[in-house]
Amino acid sequence: MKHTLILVGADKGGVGKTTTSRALLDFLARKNILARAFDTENPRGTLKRFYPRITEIIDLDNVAHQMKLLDTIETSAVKVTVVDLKAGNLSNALDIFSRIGVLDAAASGDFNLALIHVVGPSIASLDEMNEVTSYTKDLSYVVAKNFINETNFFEWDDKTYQKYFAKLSDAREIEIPKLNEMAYEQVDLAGVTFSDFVANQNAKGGAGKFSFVLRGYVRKWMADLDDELGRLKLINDLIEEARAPSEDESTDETDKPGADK
Amino acid sequence: MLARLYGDLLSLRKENSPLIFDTDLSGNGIINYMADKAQAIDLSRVTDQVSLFDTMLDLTSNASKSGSEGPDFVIDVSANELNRFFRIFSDIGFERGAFEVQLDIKVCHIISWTLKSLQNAARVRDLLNTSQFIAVRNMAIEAVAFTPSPEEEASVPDIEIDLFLNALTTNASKIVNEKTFSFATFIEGGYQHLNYEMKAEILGFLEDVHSQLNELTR
Repeated sequence: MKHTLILVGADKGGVGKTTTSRALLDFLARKNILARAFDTENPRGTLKRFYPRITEIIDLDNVAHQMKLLDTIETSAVKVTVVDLKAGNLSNALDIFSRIGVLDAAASGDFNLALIHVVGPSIASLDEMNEVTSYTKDLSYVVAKNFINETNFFEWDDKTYQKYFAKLSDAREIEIPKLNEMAYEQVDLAGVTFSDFVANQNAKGGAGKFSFVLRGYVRKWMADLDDELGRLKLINDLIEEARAPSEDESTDETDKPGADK
Repeated sequence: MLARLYGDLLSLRKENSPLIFDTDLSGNGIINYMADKAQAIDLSRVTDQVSLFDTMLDLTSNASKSGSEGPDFVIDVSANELNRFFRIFSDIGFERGAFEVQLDIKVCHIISWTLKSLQNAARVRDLLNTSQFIAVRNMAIEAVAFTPSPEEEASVPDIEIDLFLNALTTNASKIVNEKTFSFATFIEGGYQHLNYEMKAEILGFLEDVHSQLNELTR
């Protein structure tokens, strides 16, 4: 199985980037797809609070940390890496990845590379999409319209958005559905994954005392999110590969450049 | 009326009175008759949704753990809150939670003879999995049977009435609809000042409802 590196980023804070990473990790776990995560919100990463066992906090400007993330891609037993990029650092991170050859390596098929670009309701989000266009030709680019905390509508009209979206070749779009505010807040306070919250399990692994109503809202939200993520080829490929790991893994090993050398 | 009947009949059956919830914030629902027992629920507020659904599951679960019989619950869902109630009911998977704690749900849907009412009832019925759906006709309202037009015929859902609430005479109806009237008090021998015919009529109405409900639980 070829490694898949999924970058989750936004050029603006507060658009729900970490929530999207959490939702994605949660989805992967529910589909029995093992993943590891890197949080570049150095030194204090929010993602690590929810996924302490699989998350490492790194500084993407630090070469040693870049090595920790990228040099382990081929050797890691876990075949999916999710990187939660620091808020406001998307273009910079893509620039770093471009300079050190990550985009080229992905283009030549060494691993799958995807970018989930979380956009908020402001018009500035459309310009962000323009800015990253030059980096997206060799990766799976997904625009995630985040409605999780939003009760308001997006500022831009659909026509304008489609104009920007059309410039992005092969881009895909998903919507992170709205989650009831109180339910979202309770999951946050509990410091547990969405799935654990639904299963009424607290951060220590014991029985939680979470409201059935709020758990129900999260369960419904997860089902809606599954539908959205299920529309992505990238995700479907991962699910398919996870279903038949042994066959794919053996193919991967023989196909790997220099595997027999 | 039906929620009041249930509230009163259930209060006679068990030591503990049933917990009664009213989603009609206008004050014209069951809370108007059972102000001391009923709790108003604003379904637009999540805190109230928690007060309603979590309370029912928690109390039933706690009773089950202690080996005792849990309380009964009556929810008076106002017509304008029907869609919201069942959307929440479905979204949060309340039936699943109820099934886990062994809380039986009966959904009594009052139907008037209009296509819209029948279609609403069918929608609610089709939403239910483990709950019992009871189609109710209040014969005091729109007693003329619904006859669909030829264009409507195909869209009329097949609904069989399970429970009929017979129409009371104007005088009897006036009495039972007084805010202070309680069916439970009546059954326990109250309202001695009422004349024989009136008492016989109300008693006959109650007996009829009671026997139909018994039939439905068989």
